[in-house]
Amino acid sequence: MSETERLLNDIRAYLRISAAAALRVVAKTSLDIYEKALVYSNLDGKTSQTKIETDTKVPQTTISVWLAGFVQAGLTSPPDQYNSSHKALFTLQELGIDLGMLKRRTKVSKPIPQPSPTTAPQVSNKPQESVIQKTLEPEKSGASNQ
Amino acid sequence: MEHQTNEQIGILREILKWIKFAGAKEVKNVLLTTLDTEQKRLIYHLSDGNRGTLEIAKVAGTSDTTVRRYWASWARQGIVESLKVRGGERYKKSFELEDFGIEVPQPKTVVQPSEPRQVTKAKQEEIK
Repeated sequence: MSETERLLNDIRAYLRISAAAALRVVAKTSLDIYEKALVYSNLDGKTSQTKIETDTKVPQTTISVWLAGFVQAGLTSPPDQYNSSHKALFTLQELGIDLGMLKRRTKVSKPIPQPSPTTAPQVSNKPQESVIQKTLEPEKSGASNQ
Repeated sequence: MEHQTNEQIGILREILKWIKFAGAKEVKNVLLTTLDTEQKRLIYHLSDGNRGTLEIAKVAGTSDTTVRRYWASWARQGIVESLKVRGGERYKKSFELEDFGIEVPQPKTVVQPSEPRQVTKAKQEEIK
């Protein structure tokens, strides 16, 4: 190892630890549920969102929203010329996150849309039930978990 | 060309000096939290990139599996760096415990000072 490489290695080691320590509070807020931390741990810069969806069972649309939040929080780098996908800048351990201690995501129902009296067609009880049923399905956006 | 390289090394040394100054407290915190037993501190201290798991395990009075498990955990923590060697992978400490005022425990057996060695076929088992 050359002197330059040795110095750069030392600089990186110190910077990583300092940066991880500075971001620990932000990380605790951003990675506050099991599924988010699981998705984060899969961000190796190569794996696509579709593959992460398959591996974690979190909808891709939700993953997409979460990734934007991770980038904004400084925990993840967006795709660039070196990485085709998002890349986690730290490990969960560096951020002091213990996957086993996190609670799982609770599915939140969207509010039931109230039909406008002027435009709403005459509906029987049956279609109304199907609307309620739809709100109980797993959410697609994940925005309510932000 | 050589003058330019020397100047760049000089700048890197200067950057490292200030980064060490700024980050010493955090690094010490991480080392103290992670290396919370005498055995862990000894294994970390012995992880110089030249010693294999079997040698370290023998000195620390534990199994090579334990050493390997610690190395994997410490790599995720960012306090060791991996080195590719013939026949496998080793880990090297990124920080010297003495630099942070952390006492290095005395090994149970006599430790020979480690030097970079040529890896022979006979040594490959030890590397693993």
